[in-house]
Amino acid sequence: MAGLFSPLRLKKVWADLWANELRTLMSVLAVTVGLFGAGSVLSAYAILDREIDANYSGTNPPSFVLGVDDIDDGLKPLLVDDLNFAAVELRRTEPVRIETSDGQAEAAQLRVVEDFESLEVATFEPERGEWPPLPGQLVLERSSADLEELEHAGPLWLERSAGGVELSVAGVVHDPGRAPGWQDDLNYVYVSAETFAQFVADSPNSSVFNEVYVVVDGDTADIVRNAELASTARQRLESAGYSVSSVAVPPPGEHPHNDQMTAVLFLLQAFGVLTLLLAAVLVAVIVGNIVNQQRRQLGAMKAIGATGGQITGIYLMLVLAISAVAVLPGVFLASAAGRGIAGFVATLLNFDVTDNGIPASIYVVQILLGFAVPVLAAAAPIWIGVRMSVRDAMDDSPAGSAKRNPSAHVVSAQRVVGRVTMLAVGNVLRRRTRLAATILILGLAGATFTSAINLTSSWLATIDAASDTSQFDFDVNLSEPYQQQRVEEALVELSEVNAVEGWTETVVSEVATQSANADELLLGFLNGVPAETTMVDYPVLDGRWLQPGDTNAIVINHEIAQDPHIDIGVGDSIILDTAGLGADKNVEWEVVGVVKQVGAPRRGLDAPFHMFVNVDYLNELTGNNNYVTSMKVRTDSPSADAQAVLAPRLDEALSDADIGVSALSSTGDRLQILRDHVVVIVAFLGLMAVLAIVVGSLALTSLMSINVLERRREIGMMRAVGATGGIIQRLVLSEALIVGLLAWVVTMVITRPVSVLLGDAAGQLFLRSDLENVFSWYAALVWLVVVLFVSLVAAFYPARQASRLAVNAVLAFD
Amino acid sequence: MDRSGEHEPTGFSTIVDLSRVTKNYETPAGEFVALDDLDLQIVEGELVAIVGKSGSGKSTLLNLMTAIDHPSRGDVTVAGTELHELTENEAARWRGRNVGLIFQFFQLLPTLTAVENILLPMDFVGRFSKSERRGRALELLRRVGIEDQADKLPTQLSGGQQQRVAIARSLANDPPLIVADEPTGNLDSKTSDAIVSLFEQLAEAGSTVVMVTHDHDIADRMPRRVELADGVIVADSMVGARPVGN
Repeated sequence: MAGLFSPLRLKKVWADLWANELRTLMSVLAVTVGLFGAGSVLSAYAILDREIDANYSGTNPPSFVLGVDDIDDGLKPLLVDDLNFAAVELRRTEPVRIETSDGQAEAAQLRVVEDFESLEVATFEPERGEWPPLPGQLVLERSSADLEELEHAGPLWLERSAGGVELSVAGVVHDPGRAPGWQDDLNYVYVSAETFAQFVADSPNSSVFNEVYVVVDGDTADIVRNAELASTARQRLESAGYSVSSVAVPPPGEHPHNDQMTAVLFLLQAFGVLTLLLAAVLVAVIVGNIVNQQRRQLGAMKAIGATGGQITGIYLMLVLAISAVAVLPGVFLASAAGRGIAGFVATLLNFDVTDNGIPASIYVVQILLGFAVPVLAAAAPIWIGVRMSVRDAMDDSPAGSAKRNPSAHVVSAQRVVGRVTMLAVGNVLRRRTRLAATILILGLAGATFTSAINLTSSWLATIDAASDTSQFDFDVNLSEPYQQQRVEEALVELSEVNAVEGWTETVVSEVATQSANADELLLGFLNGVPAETTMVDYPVLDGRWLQPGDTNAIVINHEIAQDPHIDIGVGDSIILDTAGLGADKNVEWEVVGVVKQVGAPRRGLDAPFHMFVNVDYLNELTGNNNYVTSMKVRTDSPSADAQAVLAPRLDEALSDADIGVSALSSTGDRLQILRDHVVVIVAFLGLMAVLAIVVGSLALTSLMSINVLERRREIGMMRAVGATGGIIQRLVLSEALIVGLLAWVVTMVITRPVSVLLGDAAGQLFLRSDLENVFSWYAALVWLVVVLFVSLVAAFYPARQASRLAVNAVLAFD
Repeated sequence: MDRSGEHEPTGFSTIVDLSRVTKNYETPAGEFVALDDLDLQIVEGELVAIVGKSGSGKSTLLNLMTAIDHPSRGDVTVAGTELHELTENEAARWRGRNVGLIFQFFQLLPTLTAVENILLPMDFVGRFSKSERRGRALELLRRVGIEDQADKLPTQLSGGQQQRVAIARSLANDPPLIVADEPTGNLDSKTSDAIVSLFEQLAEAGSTVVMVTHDHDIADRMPRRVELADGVIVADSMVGARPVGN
């Protein structure tokens, strides 16, 4: 029994590959591009998976963090000696405001550390400048939003609620455990306990630290055990007389932005797989063409004794040869791109890629994909070819020739649109499966392209919609509660201010109960809001907004409602520790509504969790009637430029009235940052769109070349009866334009669901909200121009070849 | 050439036996009967011309006796094998060993040289050892008179030369039956004459050759002539004596 492979059959495969170099080149390019798309994401994922672990785990992240109000020297021994925790470190984290000498003011988060030289938990590394910072110095985190300005601004004034001090910048550190500050327009500042003491010089007995970072002994990856140990620690501290205000148990080994990375990689992977599929379809089309073109050879081989297995072997060898050539450049390019993507995503997550080596297993997977996908794609056309009977294979009637005579409609249409165009239409429709595959590939490429534009429009529309729900231009956070009338009077002195509203805001934490696990407790902002506020009009997703007379009713934002770690919804009760407002320590609230608050400020918390309660009731609880901690200010000049001018004047007005400000943010600035986020997404989509268009162009070139090749006799006949090279060229180019137009129609059909899918993914990734879907006719028009241009370029070579065919050579061709 | 009446079977061994064979095709216009209750026997060593107008059933007959197609009814036995029982793959294997096929348009593989085209059936069937194959292929080329063209691609050969290569290929596995479908239909008269001479030589050497042709001059040179019309045999005549079999 003769085997499936032999040197003679290999010789045939080799010769067939060289018999049509363009077709072979397109097949190789298709596999290379497909492999590039999938391999680059695989490589990036492998690097990121390893590096995020190395970066984040390398910081020795805390197993849990306790909020303790009155930390003294006796606390650490209780945890280290009595409970045998592996590491315990004290920290303090609070919002501050940084002012440069030229009057620029920025929001920042201050972190006080015990000892820069012996960091044990949630460690960070010096990147440049002096280390450790001396008393009177601070260090900035490298991802801080205003790093460039602050690092070289000279002495900085740090203003906290209880006063400010002037500090100099010692250097810059890298803290891989923190979300990048630039994403939230936030600066991270670190100082020593000695430096912080300058802030509290007037009250030397106040405690420096308010957080306890703990790493448990033994297995740190068991969240249930971590939560149990956190509870034990809490009880131990409370029994020793400490007041534990919050317990946070972060998911072990999970970077705070792990979800973001997963989502970004999911998007990329989806496109990578799509590119690979498009390439597979293209390979299937090309192999189908080879099989069809060689159907007589196939019949002849069967006639002289070749079995189905032997013929299958020949075409499989052909596909494997194409893969063998394509795999090396595909893997090489994928590796380079994978490293680039990993670096880009690492920047998004504020960590360094220290080793961009790609594991051998990823190369193996790529090589297997490079061989397996084309073989699988080619299986169907090969199977169809092999199953063809000798009789059918040797049938002389041209495959796919028009089975119907032109109808009267076609004849009359010819008069209208011209004979060449109608001929082109007929030619295009001859091989419908091949045409369908080509327009599907090009159509998907178009969907990717248009989705990038639609996503941009949807993103901007969503931000605009978010902007409409906030009818204030400035959010002024006061350094301490002030009498509302006093603040209002200071602000309305400015003629540009036409409305103000006082809110009471504070960070609160949920209190652990039987129904609220210690590792799922909510830490967020409690906003005391006038029930009939004129400053916000958030869309209500569930339940209702606040009403006058509400007492313990609370409305949460969608960030809380959609957080996978927190299980709170309308109708649930939640006990919050509101000691920070001076209220009774624990207050029970009933969730009455969920609102959509796109782009809610994070202000140094891990997530932008905001809750809203009736300010009148909150004031009742705290006894601070008519005191406010934040003012929403509406002006008559909401433009970004006007806000930039007005911000320092507001600050000055309040300062003149002796009112401390901890943060003053313009709504315009915050929304602009959100608008800028779309650049990242569009860059990703753009890359994928280019890949998809490359595959689409290859598909079209392939289709046109195949069509020309199959119709050589027909073209020869046309030349013989007087068609000039120009007419032939126009015919082929017309066919390509028709395919391009059909692909555009396919794009228009599928772009909306694809855009919605991508928009929702991007919205959930960055805003935890679906986007306001916008379908851009501009995108449709741009894609029409692009696809027609691509069609002409793709058909140029086949058209030129067709126009140069010599009549005698063509008619002699078999 | 003097013809001596209707053909009658003799005592030679039958290599092709079609018994009450009918072949129908479904067409858009309804059922088309290509062969209608046809009986045909061909004995070893015969040189048979099958003639008839277009659509008379010639090609269908050839397809049935080479297991390229199956009858709708009736039995087809060739070289001792009942063809209607073969699967597609079994038919291919059987064909490789038992039938040498020659086509009007030669059907040589364009990317293989003349000698490689002859090697291909041997490669598929594996009948001869690898060391024997090339020598045999060159010998067959010598037999058809174009051994000097062995390493040329089909496109570098004339039509006649290509058909000679196709004939050599049909002999590659030393099959007992050679079937040729319009082998001269694409050749000039001089080349056609040479090709027919080759078939005559093959028959003289003991091969059974069945040839479909339109050309009455060529058919008249054949010892036996079977004429088809509308799917039935309308004439089956022999010239001279039965050729000597194996």
